[in-house]
Amino acid sequence: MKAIREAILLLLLAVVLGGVTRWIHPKPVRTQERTHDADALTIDDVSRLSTPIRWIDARSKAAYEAGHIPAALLLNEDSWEQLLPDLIASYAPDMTLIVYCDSNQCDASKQVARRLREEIGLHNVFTLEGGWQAWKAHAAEKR
Amino acid sequence: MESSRRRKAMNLFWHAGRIALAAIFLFAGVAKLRDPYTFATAIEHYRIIGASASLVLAFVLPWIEILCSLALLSQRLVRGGLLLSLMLSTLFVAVLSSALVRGLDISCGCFGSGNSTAVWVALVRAILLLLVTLATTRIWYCRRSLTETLQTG
Repeated sequence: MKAIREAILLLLLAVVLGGVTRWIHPKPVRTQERTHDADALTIDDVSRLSTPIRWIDARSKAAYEAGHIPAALLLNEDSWEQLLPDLIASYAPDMTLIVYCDSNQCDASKQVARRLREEIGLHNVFTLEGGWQAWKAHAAEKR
Repeated sequence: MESSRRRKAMNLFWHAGRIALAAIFLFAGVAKLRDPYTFATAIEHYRIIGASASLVLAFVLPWIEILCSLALLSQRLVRGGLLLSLMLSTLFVAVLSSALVRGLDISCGCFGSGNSTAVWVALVRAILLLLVTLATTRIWYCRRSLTETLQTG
């Protein structure tokens, strides 16, 4: 009983402190706004690009093997060191890299794009709005 | 002699367990609190609760972890700290298992925005956390029973 009383006390205190933190936090940005990525391109944006495109699949190997955008290279954080040389070998400076994961709900594409920019120093890296799901829907519409 | 050695061993495991748990929860709580809005997005990606509830949880959960850590380190609120630790680690295992079963390709959000661990890795870690919590709780009760026995005997 004492354990439950103490836990309830701690939970109530956490709620109060959470409320205070929310009130004084310096960046009161709504979560929906945070999901918007300034470096995300839609499929229509991609189709208008005039540069060569290299698709990068940031999902798991199993998801990649189950289906991926034609000619996409697999590059995820789980096997970063093993997969990165394939990208470097086929990279050209005029190329636009577009990283995708499953949908807007995943972070993998943003993380891989961030690492390509920050660790490898590439600038022409974007993510695909809607990811693999958006690509599949687009391909189904075209059929 | 035997009970004294047993007591010393229990003390050692008890302090090691509670300090390890306290350190993990403190680190996780502070890391999440540094960017609660990104953590709210990470919670949303689990598709269990909506945006508003995710935002509330993003501000409260880090504090639960921090207070759980402080309670484990304190002399007075250890029971509450252990119960919260059990609740948190069970919750983490349940949520991550659900994400894995549904095949969600998301980062766990376990240690704030800088962390993008795969779900299965996070699940293994959460299971280990639950096991350490269970072991530490068991040791706490054994140690308490032994102390009471020695006092009455």
